[in-house]
Amino acid sequence: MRLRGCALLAAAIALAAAAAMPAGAGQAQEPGRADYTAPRTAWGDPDLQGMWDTRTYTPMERPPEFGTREFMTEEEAAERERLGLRRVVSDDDDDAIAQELVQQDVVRYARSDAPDDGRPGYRIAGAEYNAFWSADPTQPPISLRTSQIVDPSDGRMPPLTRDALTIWEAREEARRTRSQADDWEDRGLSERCITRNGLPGEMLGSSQQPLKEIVQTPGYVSIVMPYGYVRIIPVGEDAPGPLGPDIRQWNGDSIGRWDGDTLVVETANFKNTVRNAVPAHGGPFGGSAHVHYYPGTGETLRLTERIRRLDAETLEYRYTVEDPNVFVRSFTTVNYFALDPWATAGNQDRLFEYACHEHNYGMTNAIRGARVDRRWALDEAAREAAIRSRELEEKKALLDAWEAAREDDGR
Amino acid sequence: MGTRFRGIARMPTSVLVAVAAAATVGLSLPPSTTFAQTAEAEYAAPRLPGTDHPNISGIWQAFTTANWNLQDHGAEAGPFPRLLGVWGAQPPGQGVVVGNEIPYRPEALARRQENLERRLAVDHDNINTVGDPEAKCYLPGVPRATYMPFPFQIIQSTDKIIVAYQFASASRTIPLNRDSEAPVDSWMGWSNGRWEGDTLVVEVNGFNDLSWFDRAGNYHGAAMTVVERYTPISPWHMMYEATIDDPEVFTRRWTIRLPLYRRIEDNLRLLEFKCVDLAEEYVYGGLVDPEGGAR
Repeated sequence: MRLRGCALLAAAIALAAAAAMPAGAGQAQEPGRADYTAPRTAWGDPDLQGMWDTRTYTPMERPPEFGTREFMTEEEAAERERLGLRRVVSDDDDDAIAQELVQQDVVRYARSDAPDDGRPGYRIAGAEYNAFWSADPTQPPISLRTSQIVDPSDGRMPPLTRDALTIWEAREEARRTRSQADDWEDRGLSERCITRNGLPGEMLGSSQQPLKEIVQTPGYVSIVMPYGYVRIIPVGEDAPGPLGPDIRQWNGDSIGRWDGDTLVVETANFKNTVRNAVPAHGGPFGGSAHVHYYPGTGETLRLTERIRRLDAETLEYRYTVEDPNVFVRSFTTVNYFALDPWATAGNQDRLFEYACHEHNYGMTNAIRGARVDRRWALDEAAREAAIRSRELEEKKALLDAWEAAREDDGR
Repeated sequence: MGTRFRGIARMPTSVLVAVAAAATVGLSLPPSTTFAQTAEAEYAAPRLPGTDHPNISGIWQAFTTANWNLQDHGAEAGPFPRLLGVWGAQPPGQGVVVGNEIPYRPEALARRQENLERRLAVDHDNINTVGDPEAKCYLPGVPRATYMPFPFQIIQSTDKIIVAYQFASASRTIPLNRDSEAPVDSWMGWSNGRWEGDTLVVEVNGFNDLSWFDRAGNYHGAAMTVVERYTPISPWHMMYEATIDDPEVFTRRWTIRLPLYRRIEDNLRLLEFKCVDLAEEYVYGGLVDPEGGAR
């Protein structure tokens, strides 16, 4: 025990030392300059404003080959590119981009000629869809980080709690008699146009919607989100106190404060209702019918974000998720947002409207389709349930391993 | 009052006196000059630091029944009195249209009447062209977003203004002094702003032809342009004007005019009314149970 105590103390000292270092000094791979001072708005707040590219190539969880290493070497990054784990074309090579899109179409066309496997609708992923819809002619900022998750130190999502797994199983049981689209609540929150990924997942961009815009006024920081809403974060001494527990919102309730040059945002009061076995809260990391990372209700979910400028063109975006009912411990991620050169050069002065629900013909078709052939819709639901069931077994195994490791530590 | 109004508290006493004086003077003026008109001319709003412009940031709301009908309207039973009692009833209200007339082209009046008669119709094959978009939780369009019975928040920065509406989480970005062109039609339109003295003038175009003005079926086409004017007239009031032009639907321009009120409750924030899940039964329920009734 004494030895363990010493090790903990040493770790604590190391952590304190790391925390005391200026930005970028600790790790050569971190973007930003140590001597950088963030600009101020006319009213004296750190100025985070601009149109930010929030995409990342960094995987959420660290590939096991990197162990506890937070950063990969340049050589390893090059090798990953060669393996196609990153895009291979650069942002100034238009011909190469066009060629890659053509290649993607060729592959889709080839697949569309595959024999119909009896599942109507599935071949639509073929020739009818063109790659330019998801064309991605620019690069997100490159980071040598091996994972977005930096805590726990293995870069992996902490296991789900026993309670969360039990709730997950109960939901699967309740869904067993339902088809893919008995009604709208059998579809995910994204398809229903309620939230795309929820928070904090929606803070990270995709090739379809890379940008966020930050606009400030005295007492508020607002973040224009591409999927149809504005996050309004009161900051400073005039910010309101916490919202009462009976008011729950899809995107929670955010209150900010300045910690030096860093905007710290605490978000709670997420939706906590569950209807028809589908969690009303899509979870921070995916609103699909699949329950990937967040099977909780949102009741005890708490999100803490830290946003600061590292230099004139880079924001560091950190968030910590705590939900003791769902995860055995908290986890923290780091990402970088880059000032978008296209917008900054004056070519785009706002994000475009995202009218999703207004034109959601897909939902009408899904509900109608499930009535045309309910047997098929039930079979499809069972096929999806089988995928989730495998995910559930994996999560159980992770929790078992984590509990076993804790028992070993305790001895 | 909470500390949120330190900005107002810090305002020079002379300004407050001017407001008070304007209010007093208003009482003795001939009836044709309203308090609002007097205040509009005399009130000097606090500036956004770093600019010469009034700071109109805050949470605002219209208190009017214009969302029921832009024009004069009396009290009426709602569409389902047996189900809803007076919960669904239309309150009476004086119109917000200057002169009370909406100058429809003769052929356009029929569409307005049809809109009114079918305002709560749900047609699954024409889901976004039949019925009041509000009932379906669609983006409300401009100017309707301004006078719906929900608050909205203005976030004013140096060269850009964000307006976030509670209803349907609708929002607009208003760049100042840029005059960029709409790349595509949209529900909330394409806004470009500029300051004319203490008035924020926003020109909006690039609309689709799907949003309505109110529950009475007043509507516009895709050629509509709207010029909005936001003028602070006291620490707690702004005058709002919107001039609407659409030669395909109207014979001339027409204007609505109404005050906006600052919400001053303690601990206030713009709560979320992402109403999609509240509208799904209305929009899709007929597909699940064509006979209607509770699921």
